[in-house]
Amino acid sequence: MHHYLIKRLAFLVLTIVAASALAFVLLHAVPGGSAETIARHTLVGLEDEVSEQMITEVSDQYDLVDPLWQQYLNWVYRAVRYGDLGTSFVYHEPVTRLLTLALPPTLILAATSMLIVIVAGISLGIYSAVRENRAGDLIVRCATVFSISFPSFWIALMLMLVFSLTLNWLPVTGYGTPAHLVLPALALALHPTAVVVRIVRTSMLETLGQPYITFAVAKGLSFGQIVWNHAVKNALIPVTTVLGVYFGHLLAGAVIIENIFAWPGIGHLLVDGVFSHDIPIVTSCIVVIVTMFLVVNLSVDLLYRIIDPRISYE
Amino acid sequence: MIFMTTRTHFTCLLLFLLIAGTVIAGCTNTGTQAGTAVQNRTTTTQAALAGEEQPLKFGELWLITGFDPMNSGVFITEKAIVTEALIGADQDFKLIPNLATTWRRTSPVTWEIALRENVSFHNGQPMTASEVKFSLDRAARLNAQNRQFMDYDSSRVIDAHTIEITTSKPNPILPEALHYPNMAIIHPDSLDAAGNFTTPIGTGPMVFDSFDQQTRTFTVKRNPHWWGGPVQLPGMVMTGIPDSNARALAIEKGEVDFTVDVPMNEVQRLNDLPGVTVDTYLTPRVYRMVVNFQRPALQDKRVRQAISLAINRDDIVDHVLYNVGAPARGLYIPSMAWFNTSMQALPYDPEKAKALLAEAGYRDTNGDGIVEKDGRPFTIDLVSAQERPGLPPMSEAIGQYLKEIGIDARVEIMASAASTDRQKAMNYDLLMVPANIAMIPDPGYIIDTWFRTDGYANSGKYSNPTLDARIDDAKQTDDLKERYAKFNKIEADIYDEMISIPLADYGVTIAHKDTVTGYRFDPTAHDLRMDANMTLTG
Repeated sequence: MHHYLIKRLAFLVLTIVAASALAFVLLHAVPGGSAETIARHTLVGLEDEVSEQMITEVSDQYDLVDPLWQQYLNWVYRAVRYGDLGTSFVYHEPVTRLLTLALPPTLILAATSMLIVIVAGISLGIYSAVRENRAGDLIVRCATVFSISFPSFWIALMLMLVFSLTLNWLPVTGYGTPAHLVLPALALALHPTAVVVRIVRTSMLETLGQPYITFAVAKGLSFGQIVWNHAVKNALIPVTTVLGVYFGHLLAGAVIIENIFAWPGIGHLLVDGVFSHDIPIVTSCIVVIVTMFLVVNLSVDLLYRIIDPRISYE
Repeated sequence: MIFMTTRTHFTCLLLFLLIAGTVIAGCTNTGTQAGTAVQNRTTTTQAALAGEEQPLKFGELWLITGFDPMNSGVFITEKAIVTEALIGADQDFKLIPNLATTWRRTSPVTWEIALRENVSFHNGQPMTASEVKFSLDRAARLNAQNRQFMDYDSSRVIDAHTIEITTSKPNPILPEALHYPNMAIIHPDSLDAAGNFTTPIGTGPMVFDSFDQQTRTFTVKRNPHWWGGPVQLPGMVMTGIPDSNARALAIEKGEVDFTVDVPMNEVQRLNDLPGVTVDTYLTPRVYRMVVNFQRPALQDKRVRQAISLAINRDDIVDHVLYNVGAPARGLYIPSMAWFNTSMQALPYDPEKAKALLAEAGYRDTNGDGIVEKDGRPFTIDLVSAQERPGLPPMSEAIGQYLKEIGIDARVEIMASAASTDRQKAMNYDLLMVPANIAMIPDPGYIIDTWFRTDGYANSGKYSNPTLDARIDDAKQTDDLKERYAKFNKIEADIYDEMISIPLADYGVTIAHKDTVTGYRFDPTAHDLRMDANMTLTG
């Protein structure tokens, strides 16, 4: 177990380093020139011409003239040694401060979506399995096919169109009240919910075909008792893994949804950082997102062992 | 037993998530407060505002990344009328007194500027020459463009309300440069002890109230002691909505009272909505095509003129821009004091264009509809950024117009960062640009930066020493009438030579609820400036 944990942690650190290096290098490969983009965002207007002198001054100010590897190593050194992720070029604020502001909205969004996935996914999956091949099952299955097929940004726009513009029930975009949370959480949750429904359904059907269920039926237990006390518990073991993986996806995958709904989370910060070539922001956001994803996955793997002691990592 | 464990653990997981969600939700509230606590005056004012008068909700064009008037590309303190410049400008771009009442040139490189008395900063301190010196020194230090606009060397406090500015070389348009929003006057207490900008303390009709770092919302409230008189608007809450469709949705849904630049094809529909009005104004910005002068074909004046003659600008304004804009007439827009009224809109004459091409040696010898010269078909790369909504459809239309006179135009539309790279590499024939034509209210700005050999916006690398000399001469002309006349002459020659190909004047749309009245558009602002005399009813 300890070896396993150490191996996994080492792998985690390695992945984070690789991801941050990649983000750093790729941002430099994006067209437009960092100094010029930063100058547009901070010195002249966003669409105005930038003179050579400004490019030189900005490059000097943010050490953009150093070789790439040196810039990266400087960043890593300060991050590891002092926990300093740098100062945003555009916001002129410490990245750690911006991250502390952006993380809670992302976590709220992901946690709410997760709740929707768990509640809706499991209950609909069980319902669908119990009503196998009847009208209810067919409707649920069709709905899952649609939810899986349509990309989340399209679903987000449709939700906006229906619930905000046509029905006028919910605000279009923004942050601050529970009403603002509904649409982004739904848009984010729909795809994983559909996947969970399918897995729960399959798993339930498989469990319901097991000899011990036949035994329970023979014992004269009611259908409800059989489903709730015997089938569901077993059927949910594979679902736990999927849920864990999807929680990571929800954290990382909120980038698009956050931008559509102007949700001030880490995905929003990341995209703004990319557009303005704000290197410390982008690298730090990538590191945080990758770390969250890996930590959640690792925790699920460990949790899985507790849930099902038959599994061993030795 | 295993089942029991599974259930217990699953319930635990569920409970954990629920609790985590609640805790995080709790944390966020703290986070938001911490965010606003940086300028911790929010709650009281918002409560006060909520009492009777509601602040105006403003859907801003860009995400509000910063609010340092000297060091931000968003110009939010200008838009929010928190900070003011020494010198103002009228609707026709003529200078008017603002924080400065008079200005005169005392030697080729010195200017004496008299400051308005009885102006106080938002912190109650009077505005004197030393704060003006502080602001101009800082503007020049932080930003090369400011230095260049002013040719700033130093300034000297003469008395409490007089300051002398020394320029590094003779600069007849220093007063015009002082109109630029980066040269706004702020109180030194806007900076903390470490020299970091924290609070914009200006002199304008609106006082900075708070900035929510999480949602990047900028809030201002009425300045009861503004030198300009009583302020109508109680305050404003400004949030960046960078997507034009989202801005249209926001005004339609009533989430904002006022927004700018809605999609052109939505203007009519939004204007027809009950309670919403959309107005269109011309701003000092033009759509034009930069010509790459390193391409031999385009060095021929007849080819450039043919390209211009092939374009039907009226149709572009009607069908591509939905009348948000106007066909270009010269390099400037008609409301400018130096606009040359004898300038005519560029004609559409495809037959003449073909004749000019033929005269330049381009003929369709193989009957494929594309002209050739020396056996090679005439192809042109037309590169455009995609960000401004008018650019992509305009580029497509121009591509078609050029095909009609036998030029094989390859239209390439890309992100502005990518088109900037193409521009730098001189890898284009024609480049679509939506360019600001009056960063400072003077005709010299664009002529100097676009067409002078070393002009920093001379993307097409045009070079003509005679023109350079004429620009230098016009730039140094003091007398405004004479100055405008010289630049108009240069403009006419540039127009005739088709050094760059003007297309259309840029229209800006302002969408507001009918409850907002009294807004007067200021074309001399960098993007736009709100109006202290606006009122918000209902």
